[in-house]
Amino acid sequence: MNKPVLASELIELFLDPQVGLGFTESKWSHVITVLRHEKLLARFGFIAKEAGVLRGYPECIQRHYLSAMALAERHRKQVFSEVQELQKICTAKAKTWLLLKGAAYTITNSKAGLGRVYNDIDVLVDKIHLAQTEQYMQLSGWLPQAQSSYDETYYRAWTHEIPPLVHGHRGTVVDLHHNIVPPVSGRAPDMSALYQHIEMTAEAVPTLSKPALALHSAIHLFFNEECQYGFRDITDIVLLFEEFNEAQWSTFIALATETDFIIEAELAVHFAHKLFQVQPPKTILERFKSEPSAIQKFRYWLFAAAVLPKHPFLVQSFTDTKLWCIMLRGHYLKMPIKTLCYHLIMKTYRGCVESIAGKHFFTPQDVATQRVQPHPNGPIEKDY
Amino acid sequence: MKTFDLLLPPFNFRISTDIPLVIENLQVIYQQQLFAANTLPFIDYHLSVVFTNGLRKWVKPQARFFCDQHEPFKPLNESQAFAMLEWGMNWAIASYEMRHVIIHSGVLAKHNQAVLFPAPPGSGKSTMTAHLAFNGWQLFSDEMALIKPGTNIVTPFARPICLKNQSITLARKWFPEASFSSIAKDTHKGDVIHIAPPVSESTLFTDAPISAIVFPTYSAGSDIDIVALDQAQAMHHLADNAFNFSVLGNEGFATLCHVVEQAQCLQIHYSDVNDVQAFLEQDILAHE
Repeated sequence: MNKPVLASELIELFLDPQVGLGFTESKWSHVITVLRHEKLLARFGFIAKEAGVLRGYPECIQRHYLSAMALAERHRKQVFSEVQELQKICTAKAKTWLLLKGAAYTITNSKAGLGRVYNDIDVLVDKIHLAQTEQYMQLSGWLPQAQSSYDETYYRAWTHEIPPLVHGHRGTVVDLHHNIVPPVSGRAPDMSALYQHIEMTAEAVPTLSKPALALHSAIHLFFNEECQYGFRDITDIVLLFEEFNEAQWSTFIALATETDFIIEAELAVHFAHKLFQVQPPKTILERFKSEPSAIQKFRYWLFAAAVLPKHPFLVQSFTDTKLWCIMLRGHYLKMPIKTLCYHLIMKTYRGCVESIAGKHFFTPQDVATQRVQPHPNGPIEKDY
Repeated sequence: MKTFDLLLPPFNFRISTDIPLVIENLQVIYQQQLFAANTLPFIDYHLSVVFTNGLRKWVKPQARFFCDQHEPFKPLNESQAFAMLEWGMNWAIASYEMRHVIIHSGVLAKHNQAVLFPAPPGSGKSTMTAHLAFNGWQLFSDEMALIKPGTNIVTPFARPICLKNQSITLARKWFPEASFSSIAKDTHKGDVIHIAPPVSESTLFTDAPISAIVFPTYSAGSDIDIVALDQAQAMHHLADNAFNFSVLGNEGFATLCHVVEQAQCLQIHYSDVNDVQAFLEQDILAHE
């Protein structure tokens, strides 16, 4: 069957927004829908604007781009003001703290922050001061959400973060981390290696340096069970790579080697190079010159599903199977086999009941329609 | 599964559904605005309303609403499926459309002059909207005013009028010739029905400047009472009813200021919609 839009067309549009000038309106309907689903509408809009072609698109297309860009711009401003508050709390309570992922891209004004919207602000705090920081966060209005006791144990015993904290008035969500991967995996790096790569913004907000941000993004994408927004994540990595100088490329590889995430780093370079034509320095590319091993080839084949868009309009062959393998692999990397079995049994139980009895078997119906209309002036649609 | 294209200027929707009740209501309510799938060249939003899967398909069937792959609401009883689609369309526009300043408000026009009726539920806004729409006024919207940024121009987004509880019997008596949807029972608003407004092709696409903003309050048995609001009060009320005011920032603020400065702002207590209509037509709207 003909797909209404191809992943390759979206990548071309990302690399050269001029391509969109040749799209039919029917093609655009699908492109806009897919980009919204992949959380990339605003980013593609900003790229088209910078290239000076946004105004050349049909008006109905511009409208969707400009709307998404307005939402992203509001989001960006909100992050700046949230970070000001977090800065006060974390500076007071933690010896070392820093921003990760989306919030770090935004706050450093890097290209990866372009049109980037996210549900939660990721903060890393040194483990010794985690409990104090969490307590002070709660006093400042960020409250834990009701969790099932299973989820609470899951977070506290096995993962690298505590359950999300949600601000009582503003609805903003903060994830407090103490490492970048779950310690239960046995792969959690000594954080002091990453603390060597902290940079300060002009407002004295600490974040990881660009090479460390890129490595963290690669780890998040390829050492994980879930890659729902993998296409957006690979564009994050591409935009970070594009701002690298030669020294930062070396740092990126050195840090990956030091923390033992070289496989993830290589996957990131592979896809950025093959799909998005990123040109790393020769010394880096030479690592790939030799014929890839069978296991490497398998990884490239498998992880193509992780980094390509997952919307039903353009789903590729084997995508579901590949994503299932990635999920299993991610869980396997994350947890010892005993813990994994226990976790999967617990998670599968509800899934099974729902697939037999209907997705909303457990869902109470009474509160259903409270969400029918967004509250005027309320927090902007939270589920980005 | 059936798929339709729905022309609802200024937006085009593609709607997929496997629920017969939804198909029937779409045909009754939208008539000439409903087309076979792939008729309209550009689709703004892909929506679907479908039965829940699994056992729930047979035991007390429920309907689920999706905007593309995203499910913003919990499922509702099958009988509420069409109302859910209507609310879903509102949700999609209120969540994603930032190229208009959007006010939660009824909007009607006569002689190309628009009047906004921003009001909370229970103020009789929808009954008033229905009355005017069937008595020579042009319906722009029962739910949301789409204002072009930087202007006082409102764009029509004509949708069926949503009436609740006692208003349903009243409406059937008042407008016997109108097309009614089936009743969605026991929703969060009580029993709900949608009525197709009289629309013509020319009025679907014609913008109008806002000449008045009326905040209505229904109080049974009272005489009509009209109070002029100053611009600051009107601005405050409008901002309270704006969906995307905080997202649009300066642009939204400047637009609402402009709207308030160009319009007469009134609070009206009434018991008879005919009094309000007569007042607006004689004292507020400029005659041709």
